[in-house]
Amino acid sequence: MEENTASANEFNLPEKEIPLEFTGKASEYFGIWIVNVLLTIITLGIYAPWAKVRNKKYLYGNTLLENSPFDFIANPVTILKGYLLALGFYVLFSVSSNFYPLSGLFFLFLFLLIFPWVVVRSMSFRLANTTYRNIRFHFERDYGESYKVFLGIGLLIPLTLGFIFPYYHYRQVKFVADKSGFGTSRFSFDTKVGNYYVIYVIVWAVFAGIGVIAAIVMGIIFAKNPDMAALMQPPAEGQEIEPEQQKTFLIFIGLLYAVFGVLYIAVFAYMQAALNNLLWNNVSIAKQRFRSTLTTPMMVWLYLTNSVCIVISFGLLIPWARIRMMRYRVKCLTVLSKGDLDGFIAGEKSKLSAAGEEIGEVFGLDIGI
Amino acid sequence: MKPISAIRYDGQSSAGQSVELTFYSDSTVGVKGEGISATYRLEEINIPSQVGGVHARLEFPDDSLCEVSDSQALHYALPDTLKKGFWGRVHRWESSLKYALFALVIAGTIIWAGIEFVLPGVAKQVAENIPLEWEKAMGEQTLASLEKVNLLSATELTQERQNELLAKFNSALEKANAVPLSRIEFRKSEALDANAIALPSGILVFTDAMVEFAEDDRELIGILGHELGHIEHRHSMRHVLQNSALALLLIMITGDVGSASTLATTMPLILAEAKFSRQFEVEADAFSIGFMQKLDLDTRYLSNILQRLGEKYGDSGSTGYFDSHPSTRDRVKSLAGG
Repeated sequence: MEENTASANEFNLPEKEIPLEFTGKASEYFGIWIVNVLLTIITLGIYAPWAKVRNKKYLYGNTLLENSPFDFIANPVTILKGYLLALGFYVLFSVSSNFYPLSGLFFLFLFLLIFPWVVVRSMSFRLANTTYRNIRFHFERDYGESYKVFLGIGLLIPLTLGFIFPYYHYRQVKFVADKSGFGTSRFSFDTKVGNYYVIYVIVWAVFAGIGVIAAIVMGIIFAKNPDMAALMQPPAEGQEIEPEQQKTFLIFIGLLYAVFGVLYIAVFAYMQAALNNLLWNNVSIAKQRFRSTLTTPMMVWLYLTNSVCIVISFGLLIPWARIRMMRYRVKCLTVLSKGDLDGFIAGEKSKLSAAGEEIGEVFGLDIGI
Repeated sequence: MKPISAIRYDGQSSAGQSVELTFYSDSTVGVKGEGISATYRLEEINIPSQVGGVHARLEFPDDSLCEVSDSQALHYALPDTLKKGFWGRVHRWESSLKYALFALVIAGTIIWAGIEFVLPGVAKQVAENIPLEWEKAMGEQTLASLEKVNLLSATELTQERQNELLAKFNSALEKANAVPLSRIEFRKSEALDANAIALPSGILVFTDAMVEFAEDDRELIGILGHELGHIEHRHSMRHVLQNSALALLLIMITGDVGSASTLATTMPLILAEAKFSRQFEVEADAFSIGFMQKLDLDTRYLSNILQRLGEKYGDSGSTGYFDSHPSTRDRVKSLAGG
């Protein structure tokens, strides 16, 4: 067949670089965002699934690969059912844990138990509703493997005092990537666990370093200003605190928070960049590989300025911040393709409810992919 | 009419094909390209509503798809009947800066009115219809957990002093015909220092330091009235309801749950919660005024002790947006007014 003769020559084919493009505009997105917010509020949340689909349609539709956009084709009614289920679960959880704080433990246990199922449903729904050139993505519903990774290895984390966490993260990403596919082709993720340990060891070392430096700095400041150390204690009987002294103390605490806030964002940005690059640089599908070139300084800059701008604009710059981040992320991703992108064949269609996806979202579950 | 260029994907493979779409006046659409020439009736083609300027899509009954990068050209070619309807209107609304700003003003007004009036009003109605006994487990477990983390420990007041105060409190409660409390407790607390707290289901806790701080037991009656106000007005239940609803509102606005935990979105949450808390304090103070008047007590007993507490703990004098309590000056002023 044609395919066999083609694959014999593939090794010698030069790789073509196909950059991804993002064409979304903040001004245009602002209109979509604000109308979504308004309609969601005045319908008491009923519109939320339609808002979500329009939002994704805009972001996916402005992500172009060889001039063809991606698309999100989920049925909002399916998402609405998922939302209602998740809302019921959330209300049950928050009401009972408020009246009986201990029942929170029961829910936590229940959640751990269904978590691997939720991951599979959620990925499956998301991918089955993502299309490119009229071909759907898909996710193999391998519940057994999901329980093995998320529950099996997950339970080992406390036993190993967290040292297994980078391995756990690696297996999560590998599970999600390996079970994903486009048409009849499957993605495959291939890297050494060691790369995950490198990222985590750097993060752990930075946190340990911050702790040590903070302790030293505080020690020096308190040694030189005994007054300040005294302020850390509750005032003794009859002791007066001068307002001036209190002011310097508050400024000091404020500065401390600012420094730690920036450091926290920096570490977070580094993890985002490193983990994203590690994923995309080691994943392949059919004749295609990827190259991701996110950098930590740029991510730090984007996160910092986005946070500041959102706060000082009372949230009005949320759309602008989102477009900006998306543009950078897409710009850093390139497809390295031997041959063209025409050879993907459609797989069979499947219908799936959104229950998994929305429950996952209510609990802020992010599988980092 | 001028044909519109599109790329056709047959739904079988990812290979695309350049085609031209022609819209005829008899409500049919021609798809022509190399090796393809088909005609469809307009009503069997699904055209999802346009979002922004993304490539327009035409979905055909044979599962093929045509993508039109010039969505504007397609818009002009489509018959008017297809552009009306709800989604056509939503798209035009989203695309017009003027209408978007209008949406912004309306949304802003609704959010403001919701937080200012609707949310507290509804929470109040709901809370008042929930029996106080339902909070029993909540109250007991809160007290137990406060003791567990050593925020509260056994009182060091003498049994005599406790009995004396309890007798005064009980006769005041009886005289004022107040809500039946589950109980009044005394606890020692270094962290809370001079304080009194109302826990769910009507458990009142006075700290030892508070009892010692009062120069007159009538000041403690004033404090009792204030805490009673928290219970009478179901503040702990309203706190739970309002904050849960607020979190849901925030998720609606930002569009996802994940961002509800980021710095930018927790900020307004903290501000709104502090505002609710200040409103509760005002209500509790007002309740105490009525309580003391029923007992023929001068409200100055409460304002005096608040004044001294404010001095001791360094009240800045003006109410800040992050403060959980109004400033002492404002509280004393409204006590004097009432």
